[in-house]
Amino acid sequence: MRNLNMIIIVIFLLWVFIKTVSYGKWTWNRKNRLGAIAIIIIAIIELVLPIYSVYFIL
Amino acid sequence: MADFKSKLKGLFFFKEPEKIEKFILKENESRNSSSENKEKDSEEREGRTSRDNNNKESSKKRGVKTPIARIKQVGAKDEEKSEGSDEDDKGSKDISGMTKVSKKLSDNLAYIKEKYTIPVNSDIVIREFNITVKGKTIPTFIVFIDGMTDTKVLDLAILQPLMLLSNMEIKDDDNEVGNIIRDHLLPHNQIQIVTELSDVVDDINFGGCGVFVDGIDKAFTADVKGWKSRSIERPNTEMVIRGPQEGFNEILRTNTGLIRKILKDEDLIAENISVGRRSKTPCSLMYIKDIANESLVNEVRRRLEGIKIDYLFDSGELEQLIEDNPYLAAPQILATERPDRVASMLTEGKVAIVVQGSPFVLVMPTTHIDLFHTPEDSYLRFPYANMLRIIRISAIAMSLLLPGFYIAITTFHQEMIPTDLLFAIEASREKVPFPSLVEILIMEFAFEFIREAGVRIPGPLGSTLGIIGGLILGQAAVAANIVSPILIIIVAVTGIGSFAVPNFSLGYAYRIIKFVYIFLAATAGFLGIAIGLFLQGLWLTSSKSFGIPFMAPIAPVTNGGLTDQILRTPIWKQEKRPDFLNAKNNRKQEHFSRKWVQDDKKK
Repeated sequence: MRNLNMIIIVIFLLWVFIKTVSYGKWTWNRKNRLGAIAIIIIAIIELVLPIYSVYFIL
Repeated sequence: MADFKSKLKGLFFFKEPEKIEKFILKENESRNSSSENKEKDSEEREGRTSRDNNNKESSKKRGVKTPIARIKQVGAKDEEKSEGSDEDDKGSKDISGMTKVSKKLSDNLAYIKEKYTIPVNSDIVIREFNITVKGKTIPTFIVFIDGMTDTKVLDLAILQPLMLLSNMEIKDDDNEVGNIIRDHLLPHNQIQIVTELSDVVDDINFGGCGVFVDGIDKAFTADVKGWKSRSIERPNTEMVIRGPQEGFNEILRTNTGLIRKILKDEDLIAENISVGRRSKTPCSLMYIKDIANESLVNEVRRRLEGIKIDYLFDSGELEQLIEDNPYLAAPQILATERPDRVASMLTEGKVAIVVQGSPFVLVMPTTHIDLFHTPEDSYLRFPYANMLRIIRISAIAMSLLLPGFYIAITTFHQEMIPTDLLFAIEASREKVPFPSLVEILIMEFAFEFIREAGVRIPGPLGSTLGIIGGLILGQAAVAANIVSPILIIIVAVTGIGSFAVPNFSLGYAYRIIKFVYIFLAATAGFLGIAIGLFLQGLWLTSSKSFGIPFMAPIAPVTNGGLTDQILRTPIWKQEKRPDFLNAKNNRKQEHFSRKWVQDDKKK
């Protein structure tokens, strides 16, 4: 049951990550390079931190 | 299937949102228009009368519409008259550079249409018709602004004569069309012949009517003003028991007429000066030619002419634009609603400015003592007037310093008041948890709230709010032990004292300065108040109003200027005008103004 929860959480996080990165790409194409980099960093953080905390801390 | 795919894609990937904003003021639009204006200005400077075709093409590419293009797009009438519009097109090549009235009527018509953005502007009326002069039919049109003109005068004095009388035989050898129209066909008392198009537009903007006739390079402007205005009512801010009850209204000529009606002096001058690059608000500079100092009049005129703003709406704005020291709390120009007061000050050698659209007339220079006077002071017998002035000055001092005194005494100088009173004050403050400063600030702010709300609430509700606010709030505050009862007395006396300030601008100034004294007293007691008085004295004595020291004739003391300053002498003793005004004629009445007393003595 716990593994299923973990998988659901990861899928959700991946969905958020993909959507955020695609937004970063759109921002990059609109010549807002700094904004795009910031969005991609945020996307990575929102993916990595929860996964790290779920798998390695809890 | 494709629909499902796109939905799935939209679920995982970011999609640019559809633009649903209703209105965005784009930076580019204003830039384009400003750059267009710059282009236009530079073209005018270079003296070019027409625009290059290349420029037109480029502006079309950018999507910038010229006024003419806009007119064509919106106006359906122009499309109906194909020939007429062709003529307009020909004329439109030249009209942007037109400054003088053209002999071609179509050019003038196109210019007026462009200038007033017709037919977008719905209240601009153009009436085209034909007149007959010496058997010759000439196309003509008149232009005026509906709502600003008297249509009866227009019909009877402009249209009817031009359309009907022109058919009658004119017994005049003069064959000049312009002269015949002026001398025989426009029976109106104020007709001007102008050659500059900008003059015609200025007159039309101020309720005039422009008459253009084909074949002559002049236009006629007639003064047919007829807008609705407020009647002459009692002045709300300067009520008196004795004396005239007339107040100014918003119409310049009515106001100058009211002053002239009182003075009845042919030396009274009313110079016209327009202020505002776009609004061209008419102002009237008034002074008595052989009394007012020439350099003072020149200085006022110089300041008025030196104002570079787009629009001027009220004399309150003008006051701020011409005053000497904008940071001084006290006003340096007197604003009054009373024609008798303006007239009286003009006789002293001062200068007045009447602004179209404002019921307040500005009088300058003004001293601090002038602001304590009311017009009634001159109309009452001098003992009553002096008593009223003493009461008024005491009330003003109270309103300024009483809260500060209360704080200074209760906080620092308890030994100054009788012991019984001290005990009474302390007993009343026993249950109040706040220091005196907080206590007084709460009540002063509450009082200011009530005052401000009372002004904004319409009609009788305002006074009701004042009573409810004053009585119930004060009583409740005491019952709740937020403030002490004695403080209610202090705040009430301060409030009543502030209403005794005759000039409402000075009243505002003292309301602000009162808080400064409260903080100074809370900081250093009477020493703080003394420092405040010293600094305020320095500030006031160093200020000037149009070259006159603001505290004259007290600081500096001037000769013979004290007949009607803090107190006033009997009216027959007021022989001279205030000498700090350096009037051309310093004596305002004979040494023996009551000649009959001299005659009695001789008997």
